[in-house]
Amino acid sequence: MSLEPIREAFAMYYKSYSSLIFVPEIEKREFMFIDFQGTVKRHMTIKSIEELRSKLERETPLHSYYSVALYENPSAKDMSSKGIESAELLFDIDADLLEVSCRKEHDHWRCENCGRRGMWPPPEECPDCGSKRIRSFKWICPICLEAAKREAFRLMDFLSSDIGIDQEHVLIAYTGNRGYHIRVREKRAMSLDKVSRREIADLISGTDLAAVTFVESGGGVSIPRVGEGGWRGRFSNLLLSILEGNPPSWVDHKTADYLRSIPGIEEALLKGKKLHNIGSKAIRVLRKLVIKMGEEEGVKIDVEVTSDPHRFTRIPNSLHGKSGLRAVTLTPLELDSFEPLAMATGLKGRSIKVKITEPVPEFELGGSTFGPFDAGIEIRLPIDAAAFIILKDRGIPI
Amino acid sequence: MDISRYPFSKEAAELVEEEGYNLEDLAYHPDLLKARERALRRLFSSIEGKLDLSIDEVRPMNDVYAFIISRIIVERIGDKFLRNRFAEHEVKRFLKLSEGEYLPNLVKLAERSFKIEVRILDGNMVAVPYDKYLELARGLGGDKWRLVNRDIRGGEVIVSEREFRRLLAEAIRMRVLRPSHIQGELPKPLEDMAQVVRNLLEAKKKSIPKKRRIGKLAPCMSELIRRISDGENIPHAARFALAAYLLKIGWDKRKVVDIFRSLPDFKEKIATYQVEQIARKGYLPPNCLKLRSIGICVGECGVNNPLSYGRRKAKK
Repeated sequence: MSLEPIREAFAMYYKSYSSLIFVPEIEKREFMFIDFQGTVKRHMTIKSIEELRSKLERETPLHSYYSVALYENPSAKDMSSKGIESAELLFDIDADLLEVSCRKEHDHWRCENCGRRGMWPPPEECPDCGSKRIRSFKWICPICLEAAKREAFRLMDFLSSDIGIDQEHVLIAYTGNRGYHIRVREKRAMSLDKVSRREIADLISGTDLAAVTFVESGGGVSIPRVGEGGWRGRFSNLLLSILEGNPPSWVDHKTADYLRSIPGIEEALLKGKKLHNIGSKAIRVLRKLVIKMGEEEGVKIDVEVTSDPHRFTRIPNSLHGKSGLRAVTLTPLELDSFEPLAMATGLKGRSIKVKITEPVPEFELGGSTFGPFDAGIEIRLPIDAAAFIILKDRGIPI
Repeated sequence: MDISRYPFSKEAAELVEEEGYNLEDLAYHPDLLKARERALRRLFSSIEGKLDLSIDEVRPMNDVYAFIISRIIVERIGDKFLRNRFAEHEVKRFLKLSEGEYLPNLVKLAERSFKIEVRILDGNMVAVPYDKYLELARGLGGDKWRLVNRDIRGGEVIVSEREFRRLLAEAIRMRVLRPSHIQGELPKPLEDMAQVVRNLLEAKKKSIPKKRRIGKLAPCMSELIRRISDGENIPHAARFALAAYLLKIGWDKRKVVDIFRSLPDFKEKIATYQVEQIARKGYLPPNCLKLRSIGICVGECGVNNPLSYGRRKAKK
């Protein structure tokens, strides 16, 4: 299949809008392009914005990235000789990691062997022929993008309350597809190494909460006090909300009633007193609640991304090769009213004819509504909608 | 500031500068004879895993010079095992001698000597900037030091006075482990001292049973064994993982205990008890996800648990 019409549209975009492309501290970044044949070019250095703009125009990559790290020698071939100076602390929020109901409406799978299709989630093996060659087809819609946006705001709350990072040190970018990249540019955060970044990632995501350190037994049982910070503070607030009768929805009534019956729990929370003679069941229930809290209330970030200072992020206003949408840099205020499918379109030009190869749900793009389309039909579409369908592997240009 | 307790402090360094002794003086000056003796004692204690808590009440600067001479000799010998043992000695010495220290003094020590700016809160709690906390706490084992389990507010980790001393001790360890710029041969008396220390060091190393060939072990586990045999003080979680791993792949309990003998704080009784407990309960080593999160994983070997690494290798 030739993606030539899409590549032409990408080229036209970079020709018309290259003035929108920018990268801070460009000479210290490593660049990575993936072209329309899937060839990856890494370890590139680019000296100026002008050079970057003309390179994008000339090479028209399908995906274009730059490193969140600043290097002494960005073009060195191995990581250890690059000489990392600092790196923005990167958080990746992806609708994939969120439990969104819309996936059942718009993501589907197809058996590569017999052609059977079904809605998300994909089975391990095809129920018809037993083949394990199952291919998933993902989509995006305002519902999952809104969930990703909410998660981004939750992340910023955590960053502020726990790590003391103000919004002025935070950059938000819509990736152009399923989520957001949040980057922290505060000096201390930028100089954290890999091990420290992992600790931050675990903190934000509530990974590996050790319940025994929250509910400590030995000469009575101590629990975190109201007023503490981090997950300890969240736990004491959670218990307080249970005592006050307005717990979050994930706490079941039985657990809530039981916790309210633990003698002295309010005193423990408010005054830091130890709990005495509460029995092993109470300890068990409290500890279970700690773990559940981490699962329910941790921010759903990709911890591997945050832990790695050598990661890439998309060049602002470059195009995403799985949607044709722009990567858009936003302030927190702009994020609030940002609607990716309406506002991140960028491809212009003549319409093209598309053969639909996988069912396409109804969708809105750049203010117009398209679809639904059944597999097999041929239709002429504006370039942005055509690119969207084609790059999501649900159609081919003809 | 009591400089004999805190010979690594900025105050001590300033006094040394004021007195103006140079390397030759450290080696020959008759006024520093006692300091040289104390240095030797300090190094012997380090190698033997004992703790030299003696303080020169009459001339506290002797303790400062003893520390400096010890460091010079450790650097001269350039042996990892010795360096780690010496660092552990200084950590333990600080923890013991700083007990009951007036908290504002410790805060001053952190600020002046280690550039760690902290605040004292009500109830003798200390607020430590998160980046410094992460740097210092990583050497400490146990879930309670992990950031996710801490009281952290607006970029500050709240620790108790006791925990604060523990963190300071790690700063001391890092300083002692950092190579200094002393190079080349030392004046003769110091070279002679270094030779004495070398001899004792070799004798000590010989008394520790040779490790088994570690070729077929999972890379993260060989790395732990290597670090231990270099005398590094590895966290509790890492010790547990290694013991559980070695037992599961069929090592004899006694051999497992032997591996831990090079640890600076090795105690035969405790180690034997712990290893026996792990064997009796049949604990499995943590999976790779957990090992990665506690900084033990050394690379992608494509398994989910270090145990499967052994199995995969064995099949080939």
